[in-house]
Amino acid sequence: MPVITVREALRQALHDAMQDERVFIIGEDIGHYGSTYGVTAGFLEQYGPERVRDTPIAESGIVGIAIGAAMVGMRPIAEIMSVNFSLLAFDMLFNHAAKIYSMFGGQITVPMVLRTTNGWTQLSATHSQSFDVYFAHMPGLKVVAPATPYDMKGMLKAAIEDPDPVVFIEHTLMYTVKGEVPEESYTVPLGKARLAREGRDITVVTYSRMVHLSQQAADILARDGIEVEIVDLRTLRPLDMSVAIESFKKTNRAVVVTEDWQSFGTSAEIAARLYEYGFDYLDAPIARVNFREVPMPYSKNLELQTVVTVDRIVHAIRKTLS
Amino acid sequence: MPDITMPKMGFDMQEGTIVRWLKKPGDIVRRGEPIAEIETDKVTIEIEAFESGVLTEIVVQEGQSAPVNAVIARLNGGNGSQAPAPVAAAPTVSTSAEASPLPASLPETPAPPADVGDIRASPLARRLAREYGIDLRQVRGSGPAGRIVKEDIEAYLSARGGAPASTPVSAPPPAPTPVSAPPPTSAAVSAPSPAPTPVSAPSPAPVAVSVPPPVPAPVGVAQPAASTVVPLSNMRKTISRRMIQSWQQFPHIFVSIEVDMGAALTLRAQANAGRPREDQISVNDMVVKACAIALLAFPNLNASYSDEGITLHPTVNIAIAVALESGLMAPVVVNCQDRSLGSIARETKRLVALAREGKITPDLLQGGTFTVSNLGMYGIPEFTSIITPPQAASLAVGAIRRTPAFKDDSDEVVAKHLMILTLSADHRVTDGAEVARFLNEVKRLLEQPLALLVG
Amino acid sequence: MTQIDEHGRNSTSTLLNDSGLDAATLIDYYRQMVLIRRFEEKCQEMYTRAKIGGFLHLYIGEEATAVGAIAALRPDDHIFTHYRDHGHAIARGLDINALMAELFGKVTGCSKGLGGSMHFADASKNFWGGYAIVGSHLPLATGAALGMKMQRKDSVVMVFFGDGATNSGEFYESLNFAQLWKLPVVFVCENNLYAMGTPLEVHSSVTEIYRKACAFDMKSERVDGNDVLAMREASLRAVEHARSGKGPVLLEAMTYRFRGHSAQDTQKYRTKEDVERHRRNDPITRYRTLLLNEGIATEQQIRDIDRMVDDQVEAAVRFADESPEPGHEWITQAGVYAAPIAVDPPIHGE
Repeated sequence: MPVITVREALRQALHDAMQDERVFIIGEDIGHYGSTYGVTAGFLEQYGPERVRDTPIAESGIVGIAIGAAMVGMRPIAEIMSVNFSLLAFDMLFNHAAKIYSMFGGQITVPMVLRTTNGWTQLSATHSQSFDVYFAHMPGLKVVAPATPYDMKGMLKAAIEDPDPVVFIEHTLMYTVKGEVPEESYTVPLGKARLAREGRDITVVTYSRMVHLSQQAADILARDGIEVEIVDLRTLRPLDMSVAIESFKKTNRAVVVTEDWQSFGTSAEIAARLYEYGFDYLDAPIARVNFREVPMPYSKNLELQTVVTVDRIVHAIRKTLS
Repeated sequence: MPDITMPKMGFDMQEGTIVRWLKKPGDIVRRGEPIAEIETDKVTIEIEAFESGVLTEIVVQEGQSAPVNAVIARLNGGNGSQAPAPVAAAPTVSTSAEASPLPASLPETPAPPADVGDIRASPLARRLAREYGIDLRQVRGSGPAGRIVKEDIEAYLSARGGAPASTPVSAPPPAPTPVSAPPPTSAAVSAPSPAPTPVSAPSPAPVAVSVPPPVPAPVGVAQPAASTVVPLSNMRKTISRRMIQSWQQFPHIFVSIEVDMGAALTLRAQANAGRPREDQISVNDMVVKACAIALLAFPNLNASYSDEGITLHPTVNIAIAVALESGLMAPVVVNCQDRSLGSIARETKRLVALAREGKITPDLLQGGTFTVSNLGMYGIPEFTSIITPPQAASLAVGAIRRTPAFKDDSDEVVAKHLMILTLSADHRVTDGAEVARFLNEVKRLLEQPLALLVG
Repeated sequence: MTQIDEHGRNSTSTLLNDSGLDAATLIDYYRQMVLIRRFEEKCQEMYTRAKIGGFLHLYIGEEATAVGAIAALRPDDHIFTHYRDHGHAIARGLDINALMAELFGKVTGCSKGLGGSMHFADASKNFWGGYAIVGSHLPLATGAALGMKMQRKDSVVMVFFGDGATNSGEFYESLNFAQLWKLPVVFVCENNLYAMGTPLEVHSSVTEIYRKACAFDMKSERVDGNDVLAMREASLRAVEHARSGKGPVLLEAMTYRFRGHSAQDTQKYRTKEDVERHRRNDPITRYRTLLLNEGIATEQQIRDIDRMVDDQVEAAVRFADESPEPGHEWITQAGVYAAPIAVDPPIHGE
């Protein structure tokens, strides 16, 4: 099976989706500029400006237009270049995309995908954020944040085919992650977690880029004979906790690793569900590893102390096992 | 005749006040015409008529309030449009009242054993301890701050030989077993037969199981049978309230003494010989009489504590605890200081009979200054009782046991009829030494029982 | 732009003669306007009787704008509107039984009782809903127009909004997108002189709203929104422009709301005399007078229409009253997603 990057996996899914005439891509600098992260590079040349639509810098308009087009039968894929800019489109997402199906009694669907990306690398406070929890808080949205090239391709395809609005969260530091991906078209169902690594001593529940960091932490701990089991949630809404809870019943201890602020963050929801459904299997308090609770500093040294690192995950696991 | 009702002028309006009527009775009102000004908690606003006609009656006067939809005025000769009848009641009230009712009785929340609850243990360790009948106090915790974790339970089990020590009579079956926890069956293999798996545990246990106390199954775990909740009778509620009051507010001290009842039994046999059954004297009567005499010398124990001071009661009114099928009752033998032994015996019999027949009246239960409680007839050697507020002391009378004992100061062993009395006293009123002296006086009176006849 | 005389009126009899419309059609516009008026008066009554909850924003006084504008549309054209949406829904021909039932929160409502007054919709009539975040539906309408263009259809999208919405970012983003991409969308601003209770001159640096299109080099026009025929004629021009691929148009319909913003509006921002002066320009009275003067309709026909509308509205109330409420399934995931995904264990409490 070919080994390709996350970027290439996403490109394959998008090319595949573009076979459907209803699908079009809309966003800032996706065409003429050549795509900020290279995902849609060459698409303008291949599919033309009608279906690869460079837009003004107007996030609310971009997402609103995608919603309106979806309502009348199109399958738009809107790209918000960086999740930090999505705040300008939250009214569209929350008050329209998420509600149109239920608020109008189920007669109108909004089959659109919003692709956006988390990430940081000395971009300072306004360009190094994660709003996963905001998206995932909202009934009516589906929220996906895969980790591997295989899931990126299969879940983006599934998201585009889904009749509901899907927020598809990528990560700037993950586009070069490689993995095996079949050449043919396939989908990976939304709302299904997966076991990313088997182990008997402790469960790490995580998603997106943190899956890879957790794997590295597990490799380090394996040298000491500690077997870490890793659950990749893949979808945040609806949140499939079945795999995590099964694992937790086996290991009785868990660490939740998410790349966002801890207070009221995604890790709070994940830990709460472990407590709710795993209480009688709990052998130690559940630990969490997250961003430190500050706006991201620019200074490299401070930034590295703020983000989640392999060392911090290793430390949290050891502490939870003590 | 259409009614004009208090209009809802905002999504959150529940009532309004008539500020001013713009029409008076007899005025012609046209549809759409303002008829009154009303004030809500937010605004003052004109309201308009939805029907045309003549205003015949103002129901809610200026300055008065009415809930939404209440009739505020009446019109005569409307235009005949068939408006639906106004809603009967204010909607906000009915909606909340229609919320799904709670079930009549809720299962009681299982309370963890008070002492075990203070132990640091993980939820998993607690559950395993429940299932294997392990007293967590016996397990050493290896986790942070000494927390007992799963490994500690496993270590304890293997040290103990695997099998549950005492069959967990009411323990739940080990439903969804944790994957890595030792399955109960493997533990049972090394245990002596019959394999005491909790599932097939024999019941009932004739004596109290030492540890653990039976704990109701946690929610979500299969239970052999549903527990039932018996509603509290008024008597149980009263007992509950008063015992809690006493136990929480009265610092109890307990002092016991052993009494040789040989002479008393002899005297009783002589006194009862030839007496009609209804006049016979019981050991309890003799104890009551002894107390009545002794209390005259120890007024602190025939007293009531309050923050203002200690009330010393002028009479000795002894409450006799009587066990009934439905609970407990303590009719009061008043003026024991003036009563002969026979009088105490007759009065006690009368009161006990009334209580058992359910004919006791409240006045016969009031005014007690001291209580005597007796479980001797059940063979209980000794016990303690809880003081009945606002009394200062309560005497618990055990069974008379025929016991080998040394005769006086010699080495000769003889059979003695010994009885243990335990006094519960309110430590705010009295102290241990005083209680000891009082008990010695009671003991003296019972061991030299002629005093009971003359006192 | 249509000429408006010093009284804010244009020569309606000329318009009538030029319209080429038959008497039945002309009379039907009257019926539609009266139906909106009576429906809403009944709404107000049912609101005060606590049959209708939430907010109630009435369109009374603005009927000619909706009826005239929507008269210019074909069935395969599309409508998006704002929270004051009763008039547009009725003009579009939505079943008034379903509309009253929606207000009563019943499952027979046009939005199954999930939307209420501010959220009427009927996808089968390309009526894509009332939206209650001011200005935020303009991008949606623009997107639907993009959909039409990409699907090579000659349908147009008409979107209604108030003068207050023209200060929102979405207004400018949408006009830019629409003109940039030459999308078939007609933006109809209902200028009733107040953004809720804030007068036009207090909320907008430019009070001639149609001039805001200049920034996008977009065709625009101001029209007497209380003249149903003038409104129709201007809308026809705008729709034709959009349908022919020349791009969007901004129409500014001058109108006036006779009622408060909502039921608990004390209307401190205007005087009773202001309202009375505008009531003399009541679009229904004006049009009825025109029909009678020009011999299009007889007094008897007018009376028959009024009575028929009364009966229809009463029947709608009975229908709404007797209809069942929506079921519990609407508060499960099945009510929230077209394709709900079951998870196990479920969200706690579901």
